[in-house]
Parts: sequence; C-alpha cells; structure tokens
Amino acid sequence: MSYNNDIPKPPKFPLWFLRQFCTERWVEEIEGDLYEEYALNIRKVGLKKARKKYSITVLKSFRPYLIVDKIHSTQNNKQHVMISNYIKITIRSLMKNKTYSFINISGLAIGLAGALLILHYVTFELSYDNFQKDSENIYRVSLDIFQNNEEVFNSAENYPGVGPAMVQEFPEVIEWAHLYNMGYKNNVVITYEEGAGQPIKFKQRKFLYASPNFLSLFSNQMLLGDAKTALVEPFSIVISESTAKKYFGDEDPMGKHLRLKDDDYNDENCIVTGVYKDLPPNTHLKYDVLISTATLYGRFDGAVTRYKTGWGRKDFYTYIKVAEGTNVNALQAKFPQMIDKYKPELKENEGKNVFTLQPLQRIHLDSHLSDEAELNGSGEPITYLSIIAIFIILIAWVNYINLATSRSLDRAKEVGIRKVLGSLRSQLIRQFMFESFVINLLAVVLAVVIIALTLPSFHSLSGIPAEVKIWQNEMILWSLIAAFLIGSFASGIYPALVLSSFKPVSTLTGKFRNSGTGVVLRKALVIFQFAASTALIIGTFTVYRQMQYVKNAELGFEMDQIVVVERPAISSADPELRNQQVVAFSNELRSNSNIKEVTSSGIVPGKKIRFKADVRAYNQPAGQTYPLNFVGADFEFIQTMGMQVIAGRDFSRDFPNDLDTAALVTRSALRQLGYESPEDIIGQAIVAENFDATVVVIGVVEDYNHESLREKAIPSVFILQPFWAEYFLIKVQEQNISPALAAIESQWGSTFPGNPFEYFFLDEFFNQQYKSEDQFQSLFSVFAVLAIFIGCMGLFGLSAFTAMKRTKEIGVRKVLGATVPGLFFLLSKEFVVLILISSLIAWPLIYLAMDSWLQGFEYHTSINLLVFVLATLLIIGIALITVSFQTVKSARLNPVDSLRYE
Amino acid sequence: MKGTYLGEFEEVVLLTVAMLGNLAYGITVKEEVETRTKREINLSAVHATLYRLEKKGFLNSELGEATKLRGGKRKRIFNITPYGVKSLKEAKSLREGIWSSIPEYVLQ
Repeated sequence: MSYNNDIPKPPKFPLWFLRQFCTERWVEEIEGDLYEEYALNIRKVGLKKARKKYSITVLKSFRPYLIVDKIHSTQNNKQHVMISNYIKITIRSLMKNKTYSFINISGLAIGLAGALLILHYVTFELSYDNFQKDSENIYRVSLDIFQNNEEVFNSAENYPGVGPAMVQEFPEVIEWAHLYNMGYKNNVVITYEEGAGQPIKFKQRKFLYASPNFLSLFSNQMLLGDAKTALVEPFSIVISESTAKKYFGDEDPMGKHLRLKDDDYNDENCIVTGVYKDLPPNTHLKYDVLISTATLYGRFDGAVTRYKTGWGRKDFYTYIKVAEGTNVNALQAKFPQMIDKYKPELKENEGKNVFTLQPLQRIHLDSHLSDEAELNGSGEPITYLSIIAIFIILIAWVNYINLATSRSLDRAKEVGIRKVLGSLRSQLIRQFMFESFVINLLAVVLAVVIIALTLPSFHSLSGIPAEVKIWQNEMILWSLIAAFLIGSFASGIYPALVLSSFKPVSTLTGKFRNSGTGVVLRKALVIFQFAASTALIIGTFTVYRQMQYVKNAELGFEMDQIVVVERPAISSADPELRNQQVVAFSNELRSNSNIKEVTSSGIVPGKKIRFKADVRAYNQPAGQTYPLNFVGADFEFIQTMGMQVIAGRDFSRDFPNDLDTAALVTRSALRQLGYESPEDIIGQAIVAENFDATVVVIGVVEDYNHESLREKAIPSVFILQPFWAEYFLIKVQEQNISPALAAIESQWGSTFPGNPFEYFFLDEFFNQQYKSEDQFQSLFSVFAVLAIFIGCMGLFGLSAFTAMKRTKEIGVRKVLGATVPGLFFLLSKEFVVLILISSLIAWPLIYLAMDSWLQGFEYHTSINLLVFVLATLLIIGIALITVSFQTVKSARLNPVDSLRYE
Repeated sequence: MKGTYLGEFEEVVLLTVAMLGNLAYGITVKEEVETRTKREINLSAVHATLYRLEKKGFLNSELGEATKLRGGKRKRIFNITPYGVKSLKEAKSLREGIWSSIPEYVLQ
C-alpha cells in the first residue's frame, strides 16, 4: 500500500485528548495504529465514518490501565504537586461554603440535566425515518386538488398510478412503491384459523396493502423470507416479528395462513411469506401487517386499473426514490406536464392538481395533510424547546459566574498570599480554571444521576416511547462532554481572570474591598436570567390559555358521555340482513334505561373526513361543483350530537319520506351552494354528482368543528341514511356508565357474533388531536419552572453576598435609626430595578414568539397583556421571597454584632 | 491459577499473535481476529488485551519501524514468549482432556 498524500488528517480533538491521558510509553504506537486504521477505513467506509470511528476508538481507549499509568508517571513532578494542592484548596473552598457549593453544583446539574432531556426529545423528533437507507433520496408524493382555483383538498395519499407513471416518465425517478391504507380506515380483523385451539383474531389497524418493491425501498430487516419477492404474489402477507408472536407463538410462521375480513366484505386468505423485524418507533409509517397489492387486483373486473394504474380514486401513499444528486425542484417543475398527460379531463372541469415531493425525513414534523398515516409531530415545539434548553443551560452558567465573581472577596487574601509567594498570574488562572473543571465535573455526574432518576417521568410527559434509550444516543454523550468542556471554560474563565488580577498589596493590607469589579457584568447577567424567566412564564401562560380555549371552545356539538362503537368488521354479505342487524342493535340499546340516545353515522368527529362529494345546488350549472363533506346519518344524529338547527327542521321519524331524500346542510355550505340566508335554501334540491344523488334540503344546522381547532369548520351535507352506519354513537347516562357499557357489549355480542368489541369515548378521542400540543404544554411548563428555579438559586446566592458585603453599612444605618422594613426595601430595591429592566427586554420578544405560535391555529385566543404584567409581578414576588431570606436576616442583625467584627 | 488464567478473548489474541509470527501489532491482530471471529472489534480492546498479556508475561514486544502510512509513528511488534506458548499448550491440553471425556452419545 503506497503512501497517499491525500489522506486527510484525523480529527484533531480526539488526538489531543489521547495525548492527554496516554503516557509516552504507549502514545506513539497507539497513535500510529489509530492512524493506520483510520487510513484503511477511509478507503473502506469513507471519510465521514472513518473520522467517527477514530473518535469512538479514542474514547474507548480511555481505559484504567492507561489512566493509572498516566497518574503514576506524573506523581513526582512539580505539576503533580501543584495539582494535588489545587485539589486540596478546591475541596476546602467547597466545604467552607457548603450552601454556595450546593447552589453552584446543583444549579449546574439541574440545568445540564434539563437541557439534555430536551435534547433527547428534540433528537428523537428529528430522527424520524433517518434510519432508512438512502432516506435523503426518498420522497412521498402528496396531492393538492384545486377547483375553480380554490384549494379544496390536500392529501398525503395520491392516485395509485402516480408511482409507476413517474418511473416511466422521468429517468431520475428510479424506484416507486405505493401502499393502500386500509387498516386506519376500514375495520379489519385478521384471524389465524388453523391453529390447534380457538381461532386467534385481532383487529388490525396498522395494516397496509403494499406493492412488491416496498420492502426493499424502505429498509425493512427481514427475519424470514426475501424482501424482494415476499410481496410479489397475490395473497401474500408479511408481518412484523411481534405480530408473528401474537398469532403463532414460537411456531414457524412461514407458509401459515391468515384470513383477512373487513367491513367491505372482503375475505382474503393469505399465506405468510415473510417476517420483518419490528419497526423502530421513529418512523411516520408504522405497520404490523402488509399484504401484497396483487391481492387487490382480483377483487373485480377492472381492479388492476382501480388499484394499480388508475388516476381516479386517490387513496395510495406513494413513495419514490430519486437518483443521487437529483435536483428535486427541477423534477417537481415537470409534474404539471405529466398530470396534463394522464388526467386531461382536469382542464375541462376547471380543476387543477399539484403534486409535491415531501422528503421522507421531514414528513413527521412538517406534514399535516388529510389521511396522514399517524398524527404527526410539529416543528415549532422543537424550536421553542431548543431555545428553552439553551436558556436553561446559559442561566446555570451565569449563576456560576455570578457566584464565583461575587465570592472574590473571600478568595482575595488567598490570591494575595499566593502572589507574594511567587505565583504567576497564569498559574492562578490555571488554579481557578481547575476549580471550575472540578465543579463542572461534579455537576455532570449529578446531572447523569438526575437524568437517570427522572427519565421514566420524562418519557411519559413527552410521549417518547420507553424503548428509546437516552444513553444510546451518541448526540447526548457528545453534548454532555461538550457542555462539560464549554461550561468549565466559559464559566471559569471570567472569574479566573478577575481573581487573578488582584494586587497583593491591596488584598493583604486589609483594606481591600471589591471595588466594583464586574458589577456591571453581574447586573447584565442577572437581567439576562430574569428576561429569560419572564419570557418563559409568559410563554407558559399563553400556551396554557390557548389549550384551555381550544378544549373548552364551542365546537358546535356536544361530546360528553358519548360512547362510539365502530361497525362490525365481520358481517353478513346480505344487505337486508345487515340493515336488520343495525336496526336491532340500535333499538335494543334504546330500550335500556342507562342509555339516553343511540344514533349512527358515516363519520365521527375527530377522525378526518375520508372523501368529499362534488355537490352543487340543483339550479347551478352541471359540472360546477364544490367538494363538500357528504355523509349519511340516522334520524337522531343531530339531536344526539347536540347540534343546533338554525333554519327548517331536523330529520324526524314523523316524516317517513325523509329517508334517502332529505338533507341537512351546515351554515358554511350555504355560500358555496349559492344561498345567503339559511331560510332560502329550505325546500331546494341539491345534487351530489359523483353519487348520482339528488336530495332536498329540509334544514340548516350551525357549523361544527369536525376536526381540531387548527382547522376551519368543514362545510357538510348530512343525508338521512340510517344504514350508512359506520359508527354507532351512543349517549349514556352520566351516573351509569359502566352498566351502560356492559349492556352495549352484551348487545354487541348477540347482534354481531364473532366480532371483537371495541369502543372509545368521543371526548377522549376528539382531544387526542391535541396530543402534541398537550405534550408541548407540559414540557414547556416543566422547563419554564426549572429555568426560574435555577435563576432563583443564583439570585439567592447573590443576594447573600450583597447583604454580607453591606453588613457594616447596615449596622451603621441601624445605629442611626433605620427601620427593618426600610432596610429590607433598601436591599431589595436593586433587584426589583433589574427585574423591571429584564421585563422590558422580555416582553416584545415573547410577544412576537407567541403571536407566531398562535397563528398556527385557525381559532385562537388573543394574547392578554395582563399576563405580561402578572408574569413580571410574579417574578418580582419570587425574587423578593428569595432575596428576603438574606435581607431580612441582615436587616434584623443586632448592630453591635455587625459592627464589632473589626 | 490467578495470573495464568486466559480469558476467551485473551486466548484468541494470544493465538493470533503466535500465528502472525513477527508481524503481530495492533492493526494486524485486530484485522485477523475480526476476519476469523466475524465480529467487529474495537482497536482499543485489542490494545488493552495485548498490554495485559505482556504484563502477565505471555508476550514480549519491541518497537518496530516507522512507516509513512502510520503518520510517521513506530509500531510495537509483539512476540509470544515461551511462557505464553506453555500456557497455550496447557489450555489446549485441558480442553482436549475434557473433550476426550465427553461421552460418545452427547456428541452424536
């Protein structure tokens, strides 16, 4: 192997670190071996990984045998003697002022622990899908639909034919895969019937139909079967490791049969062709079961077009992989041409489609479209929490600087003596830096303990799955080291410079007073701390107010005590019988005294609307339609949901002709149908073109928020179709919830035998939409309190020293007749002024930040300026209480004692 | 026994040094062990083991030549000592003894 001049130098810092702990006896050969391995690795795995490997190996070389050797080798030289002296002095000064040492170390530790926990959350949220091979080249194709230049629909799903067409049209698109998302929408039960005992059946939500190349496009680790071929044949099913365990225990799953049944009466008996390792929690697309898309093609004539090549229905997640180095914007610019080619009818109907490429890794944080595979996270909290993390750690460091410099008085004599005995300034700086390192090291150790203790509660607070291990996160370990080094240096250097600059003469003659050194800086630091604290309090309040607002807002319907049961997955293929079952189930329950009302409908609030109908008023020109939510409901739907009829009348059993002919519309649908006043539309006909249905409007209901208040109310049309019944909505007596549930369950068992019984409460279900906001709120509040707490610890220490410094002054004042309240006021005044200044800085900044956060909600509360004032008062209050521990003590001191000490 | 006892990884490293003749140093030992055990091994573990074996007297070493590939650093070449050979033999005969005592039907 010849020497190659181009070998880049190994990373500097690890090399430096190695030289620090490794003695001369070994350093040369280890360094040489490391370098050789590094050079080999560059060829094998590339520069980036080689550098990483180099650093890790150095870190792993940090072993006892080397360190012991290092310590032995330095034991007898001068440096070592000085270091042991430094250690001794550090320990003594820590022990001398236990309170301040405690404040210092625990403040730093809490700050560090808090910041690292946030980092843990942030890196987890940012890590979504980055484990997929080539994830930077994989995109999902999302779909925006415009009608009459108005955006009517944006969806994570697309036409099934898009993937194949893209590979055909564009050379830079090298692979495609699409998935038909059934488990989230339909009611699917998968059963293992061939086992020895009872059939094993589970309702499967995380279930998708996947095209053959899906397994290899996404880096699925196959435990059994081949990723390339497992999904080729029809009736192939691939399951996750844990799903295999659930069905088959320890038996070999390969070749066994699993039968799928859903509420569209599909019955597919599939053969297990593969098992993959369970997916990590940080992926936006979670699935336990995959069935080959080829299974769909035999469903009916024309199913291949419907499910593979068609551009009609839009219900396939479409992923493509582009060649390395593709200009994605240029690629996107070519999409309109392709859409024109494949969907020429759009132009004639004043419609427009837009395809967008969503980078795989950004889907979790950035994408909030219709039909997302799961509730995605959000980028904003990440930014805000990162800022908080930085604040917290800065506040902790500021504490250290403040305390260390204000304690300079204590150490002045020591500095004087050391200088007289011949210490150089550089040696003193080294000494104080050393102390800073020791204190920071103790803080790091304590921080690790704190993290270990609080981790379980942090995980439940933030929603990070428990299986995500914090110490496996390299980022955390490096940050800990970086925080330790930066912290030691940043917080140590200023006190070290100040302390080492004292003149021995003035410190030793006894007249030395801390002549205003660093007062300005100290004040600036306190202002910074309190500006951060004030901002965090205001932020917490505002987030809290918004969440209260959102949860208590008028939604246009009532969701208390409503139990929702999804329709059975396994049911008769005979429509007559099915309808009878629906009626029987509802009527039996109505007769139960613990149940107030029973109704059914095709939708449930909190679940995204699956499709919209193209609706127009009868007197509007054909073809000029608007996409409205168009859904069947039972007679009592409006009543059970507590929606308000503002014109006309509700569906009623007194009007049997309502069936299939009558419709109710919501207020916001009026304008799109060409009516201004709710009364005018009563008795008018409307047409749902793609449903071939004409209905007569009998009433108008007030708008209601079907989805979270981040979105606008959706214009809707309800038609009277009691057998649409995808969901049963059952209002139960508040006092008798458990007997009511028992009654529902037993009725379910007798009407729909063979179906697992599952239910949920509407209010809980609806509020799940605010999961990420809830997490944000709790994280925000916890860490805001933490930041304030750390800030107060610093203030406590600082006020103690201020008071101590002025002991004599206070004594004199008391002798001259000052009162205790007067002195308290005198000592506290300074801090109040500082806090007021910090508020002035914090107010505009947090106003802007919160304003932008609130804009993300379609319905939001206003920013209340009273909150700003309250926050400042609160901070002043907290600060005064903190300070008062010291000030009251000094103010009450007997002047005889305070003046006697000289 | 303490002091002469060979751990599993130690034994593998010691055998590898013996096998490599006078070519044994950190990198060659690591690569050889990796290819034979098909495990990924960190260089630092190899170093620690080599030095430990040297301290126990199983190996001795001398500094070799410096090459440009090593950034101008010399390498430490390890050689097995007679004592090392002896303990390898002992370990082997211990195993063979046990092997030969395993009842026939267990191994079928």
